[in-house]
Amino acid sequence: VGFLGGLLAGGIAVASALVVVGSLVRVPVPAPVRPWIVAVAAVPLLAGELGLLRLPLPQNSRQVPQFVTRVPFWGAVQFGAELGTGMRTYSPTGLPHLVAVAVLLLASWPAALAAGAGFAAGRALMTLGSLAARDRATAARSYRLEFPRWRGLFAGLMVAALAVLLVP
Amino acid sequence: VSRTTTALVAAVVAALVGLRLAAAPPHGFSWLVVGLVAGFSLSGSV
Repeated sequence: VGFLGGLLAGGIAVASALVVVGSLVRVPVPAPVRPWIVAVAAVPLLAGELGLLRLPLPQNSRQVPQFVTRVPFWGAVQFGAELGTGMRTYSPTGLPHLVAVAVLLLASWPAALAAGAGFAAGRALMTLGSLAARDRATAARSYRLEFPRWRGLFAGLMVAALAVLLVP
Repeated sequence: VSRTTTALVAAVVAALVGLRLAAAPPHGFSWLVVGLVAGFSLSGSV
């Protein structure tokens, strides 16, 4: 529960911060141009997802910290919040970066809250899936080995969802 | 896993397209899906 609450807090905090920064960034950019900037930014990021391009993505290359096990509840809350921000651990995909650009340039407050909550829910799925698994070690190994093969699938889903937002 | 995943993906895409065709701007739902996909795509990274 602490971990999931932390995830939600982290995801919403970052999405809100992006809207605040975005309110400044959007000033010199005409509204009709903003979706085009997101679309242009999506091209190299999606090409990276499909293995057509190798992009150095900003990421925090750290593993699960020890305080999670030392401080049972608040350690989980803190780690959840850090994971929820998307700025903890490795980022093998550029999709969160694409969402950050979209929120920065396009999202209203309710939209940003929805994106932040969705990000937290997406991160929680792995934990919930592992908890529900009969064999957690196998589940963890599956996530590690299978996810790199699903990058195209996630990229396709992202295109479908973003298309709904970008196409008037 | 692949069948479940395919069914989930098909359901999400169908919901997106359906809401779009129903002319009800599903922006909140779309933002939720955008965030969800981005968050879940990181699941292999911990």
